[in-house]
Amino acid sequence: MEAQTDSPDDLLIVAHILVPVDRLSPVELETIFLKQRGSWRGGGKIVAINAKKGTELRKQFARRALDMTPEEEQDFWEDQKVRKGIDAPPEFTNTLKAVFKLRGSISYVRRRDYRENVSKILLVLRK
Amino acid sequence: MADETQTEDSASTENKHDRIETLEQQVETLLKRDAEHRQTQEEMAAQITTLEQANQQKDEDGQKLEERVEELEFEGEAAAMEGAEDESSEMERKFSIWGFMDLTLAKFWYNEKSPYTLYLPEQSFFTMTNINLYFFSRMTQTLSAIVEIRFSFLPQGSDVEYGYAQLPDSAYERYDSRVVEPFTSMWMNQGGITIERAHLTYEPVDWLNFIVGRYITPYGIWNIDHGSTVVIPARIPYMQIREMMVLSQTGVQVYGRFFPSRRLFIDYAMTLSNGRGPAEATVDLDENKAVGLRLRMYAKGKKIKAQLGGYAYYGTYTNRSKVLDMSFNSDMTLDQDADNPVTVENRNSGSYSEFIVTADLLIEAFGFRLQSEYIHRYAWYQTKEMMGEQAQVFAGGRPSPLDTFYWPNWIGDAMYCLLAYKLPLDPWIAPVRIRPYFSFEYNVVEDTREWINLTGYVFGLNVEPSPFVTIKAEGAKVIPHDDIMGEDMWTAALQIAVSF
Repeated sequence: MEAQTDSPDDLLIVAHILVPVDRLSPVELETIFLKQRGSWRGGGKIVAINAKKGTELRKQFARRALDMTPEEEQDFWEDQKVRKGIDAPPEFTNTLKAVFKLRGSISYVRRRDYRENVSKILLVLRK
Repeated sequence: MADETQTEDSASTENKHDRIETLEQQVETLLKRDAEHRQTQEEMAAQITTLEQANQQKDEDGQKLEERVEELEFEGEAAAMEGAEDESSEMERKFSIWGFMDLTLAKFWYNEKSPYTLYLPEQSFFTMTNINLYFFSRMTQTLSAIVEIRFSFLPQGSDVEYGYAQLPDSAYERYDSRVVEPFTSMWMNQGGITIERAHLTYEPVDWLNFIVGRYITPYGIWNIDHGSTVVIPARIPYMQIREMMVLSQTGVQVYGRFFPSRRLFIDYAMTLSNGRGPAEATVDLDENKAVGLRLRMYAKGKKIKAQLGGYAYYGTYTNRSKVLDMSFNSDMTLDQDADNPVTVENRNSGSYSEFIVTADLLIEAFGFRLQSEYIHRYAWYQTKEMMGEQAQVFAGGRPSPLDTFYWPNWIGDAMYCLLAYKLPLDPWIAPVRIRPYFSFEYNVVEDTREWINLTGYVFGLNVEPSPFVTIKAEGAKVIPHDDIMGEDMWTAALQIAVSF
């Protein structure tokens, strides 16, 4: 198998240090950010955090993790709002900072923006 | 001459010596200067090295300062979020209001003087039947509350009583809720509200959650998710309109979700409630609580999503009337000497048990949506209940107190199947979506009341110019199962639904 080289534009799925899992599959990631799953496998509520709407980071995450365009993502959450009263995960300007502090949280950041020892990496979404 | 030559030779040699000596001195001077230059260069190189090292140190110090600033910013933000025991719940705490409503232009075509006239206007009309508001509060990460209110212009203008040609004294009566406003003397129409749901939700983990209050029965596809912009046709399926399954219940619900594999969910729900009854939202008129069990399997692939579910329900409907019995003296005063001068009997005026089972299927793939539901209902009476006058007429009886008709046991079976397709026009018209659909319904709501049973063919087109708006154009052919309703009916509806 050819080794994959790291790219600064890889999306790192990061979680709070105390989150009770060390790995996540792409399907599990999707269910978390579509709010179909609300608890970690080892216990505790999941707090999914999005980047701000309209940012390149948010667009890339929607495309790679949810297989949605920004418009499709908005449609989905509008539909969920009417059906179940569910909103999209809250948005933060600096997702890495939010994950650093918020217990149970999970979010995403570009590899070039990642800092060591402030969160754990659960999954890498390559370009 | 020889002396002169010797003297000239000596002088020349001496000059040469002098010149050599001068040159040697010059060379020595040059060598000295060269050595000095080399020394200067070495000193300069050493200085340059020292300066470079100093710069490098400054760069490292600068980077460390930047890192420290960032750390302080982190700590600053963290400090700003201190104070809440659970920062996550503090972040998510909120109160929100949203809703949906729709405007429909409808027209029905049926035989003149058909019994359909009792329920459906003959003239085309605009109507707003769904004006729903949701009030939602998330108090903590695991605790939330929701109230859904449906506003209506009814009962203003609804039928209260019909006239009967065979009863000359009978007269038609329409509900008039208009009142006069005392300050302006202006007439005001009073509408009404329906509380669709009002409950507390506690969600500690995916597999165990609780609902307490008035909740929507967790069955089918369009019972919980019933927004006008969500439901594809202009009206919900007939089985739902006729409430073959209890649409809402007052009580408690336990529900949860399991993840047997990464692409498979299994949902369950158990319900305990007052069940069905004439006042079940606020009081149960019998001791028998209704129970229900919901199971649903949901599988999601990259391009195909499918869900298969079912709900089973058992409950008892009881109607009671309160009858006072008082003991009187001959002068019509209350007989205080009697053992029980005033007694109240809570008289059972009709009760039946019912067992209902439903199944639902939804498949979404490549723009197609295939959806189907089935309901089977069996109801059997323990205490027979008398039919109302209108029901007696349709049962073939006469609206006379001398004739007594009781509701029989019944069985109901109903199903529908809907197919919709989102046209692949995104490259040209996105974000507008266009979705034609077709639905077939077969409804035997009660096998003993043929006049309410029907078969329907529905076809229509949805246009969604934005996620908030759906425009529906629909036609339907309705085939009644009982000749008493006349010939087939055609309907047309144009609806605009909006969520906000």
